[in-house]
Amino acid sequence: MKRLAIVGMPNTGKSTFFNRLTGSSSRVGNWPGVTVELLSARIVLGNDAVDVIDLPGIYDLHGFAEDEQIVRDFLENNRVDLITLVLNATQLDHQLPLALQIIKLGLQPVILVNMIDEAEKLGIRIDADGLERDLNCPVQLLSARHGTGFNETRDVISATLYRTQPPPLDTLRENLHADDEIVERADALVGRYITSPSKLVRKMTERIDHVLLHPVLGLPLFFLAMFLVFQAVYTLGAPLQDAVAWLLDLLKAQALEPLAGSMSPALYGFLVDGLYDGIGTVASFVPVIILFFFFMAIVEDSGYLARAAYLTDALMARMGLDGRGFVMILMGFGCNVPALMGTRVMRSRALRWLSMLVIPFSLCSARLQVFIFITTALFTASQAPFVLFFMYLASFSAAFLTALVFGRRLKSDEPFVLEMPPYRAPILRQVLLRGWHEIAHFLRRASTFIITGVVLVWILTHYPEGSTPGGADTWAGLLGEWLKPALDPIGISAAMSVVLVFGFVAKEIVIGAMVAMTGLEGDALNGYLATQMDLVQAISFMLFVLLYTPCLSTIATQLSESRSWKFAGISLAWSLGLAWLVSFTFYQSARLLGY
Amino acid sequence: MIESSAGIKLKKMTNLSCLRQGECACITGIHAPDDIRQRLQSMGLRTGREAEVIRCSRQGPMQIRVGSLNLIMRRSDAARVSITTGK
Repeated sequence: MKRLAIVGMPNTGKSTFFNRLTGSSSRVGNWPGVTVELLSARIVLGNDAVDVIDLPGIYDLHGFAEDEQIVRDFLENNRVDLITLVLNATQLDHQLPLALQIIKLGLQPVILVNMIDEAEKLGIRIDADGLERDLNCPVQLLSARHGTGFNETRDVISATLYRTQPPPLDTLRENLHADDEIVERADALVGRYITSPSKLVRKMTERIDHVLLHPVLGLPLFFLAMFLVFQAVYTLGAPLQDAVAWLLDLLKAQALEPLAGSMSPALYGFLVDGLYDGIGTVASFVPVIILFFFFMAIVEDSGYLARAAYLTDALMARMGLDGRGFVMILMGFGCNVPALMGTRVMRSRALRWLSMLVIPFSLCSARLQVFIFITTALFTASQAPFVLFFMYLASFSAAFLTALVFGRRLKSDEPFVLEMPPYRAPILRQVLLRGWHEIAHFLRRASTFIITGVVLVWILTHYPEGSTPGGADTWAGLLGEWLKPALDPIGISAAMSVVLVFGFVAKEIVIGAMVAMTGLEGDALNGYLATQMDLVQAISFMLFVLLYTPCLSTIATQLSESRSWKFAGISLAWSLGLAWLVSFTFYQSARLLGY
Repeated sequence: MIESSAGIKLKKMTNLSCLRQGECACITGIHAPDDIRQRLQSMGLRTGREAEVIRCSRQGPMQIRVGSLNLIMRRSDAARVSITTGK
């Protein structure tokens, strides 16, 4: 099996190329010598299967950031038959040193000069043949976004892959030491083979930035943009959500209910009222989540996130974080796990840990499902948006409070320097691929966590035999009784406390568990919820769900990224404590005020 | 790429954070611990390169153009980059 690694700086379109090369077959996996999971895919190239690995974006093979260490560790411990180095055609003066570093290691890469369409527009001309002769390795011009030159590139990679011999790992390890004079040589190459205007002017980007980075209007425009994204998600999502619910009901009425006669009532209750309805209710939120990631992908693709970092850095600096931290919090609105992994670009451990303490308070899409569910059930249509807005506010406040509390202990001197990419129109293919990844992600979670959680909740709320389903004499009832001293002061009923226990694993289970526990769905479940909590209790419950812990995957990621049990433990203890205190304060003061 | 020898000349020079919007200067060195200097250099801030300030926010970072690169950096980090505006 041949192995192909993709290397390049951030913002070179490395992932776009990877996606185009591998389609949608990628998965994450572990590699020898590397402590984190890397994205890879198996494809057919030439006549053989080839493993393609997407390595993290790096500026320098000798840098001190975690990402750079990961790439070094990978190259030192894994045989790589061919390196595909992706360079940004509009910044070759800046990017060629990395190419020279890799060539110097004896790795003989295929060099892909990507974004050739943008370079042409800017008036940059690149003598690929000259570069190829001088560097003695294949140089291909392409646009991975639009596909220009892609087929030729794939052929060249395939041909080179079977022709070259990689250097032995020992030689490679020896060569991975500092190398001099690379910058001078890069400059000489640029002078010889690349012609570009003395000043690169991107009129469109500059015009947009003039407005979006306006000293006064910049931030308000940013919040307006975010508001519009959320508005669009809900406006478009609600009818889709109804459609999925309708489909699932139809399937149930046509295919499942006729089976009622042929099996025992207990089994039917478990399979249909428990499992099917439980997972179905969770599944009805999938369209909203997909839409959410659609819009996130558009914002990410457009280059606006770097602007968000620019606009918010002054505020974040006061809390010991930086603009990148703010972007990670935004990413965390989708899912906390990739946001946590995104902190690898930070070199300083203190800054990374502080960011990783803050990110789990981002109101992720799984928690959003719970909040939409509860607000729709208990609040009027006009109140609901304000309640949701309040939860986002609480999410930000918790993040900022955490940064203020821990910032003094975790001080850093990390430089804040970030590349500002030009604005780009998002490519439909990329956005769709992202949506597909989310559906796949949901199906994976549904088939493991959610089914297990829903089944367990059903068992706990229906056994021991002879107890009233969901009643105080079930195992769940006993558990609720046991948790009562902690949860009573914050207004959470015994029945709901079981739900919280499972919400610890994944927030999607919370809704599924309510269905499985009660055997109700739709309006009937809304009615049941109203008997379990009034509005004050509902908000207290949601505040607790928001803060008490993100999910098991997030805790696991915190542990694997920090490699410190102490860090993960402190983070968990802090969020549990904060959640209880916030809910307690809210619930008790609301009651004191007579609500 | 050795910055220490620039010590004597430092008085005549200023640093990147002193520039105003639209001003240009030549980078003469980076004054920071090794790891931070390496980071800044690998992001394109190398001795001899021309840097132009595209945008400054009042308290926040600056936007700087170095060669084909567009960077945002904090003022405190820009202050580590010494420059000369000499003709």
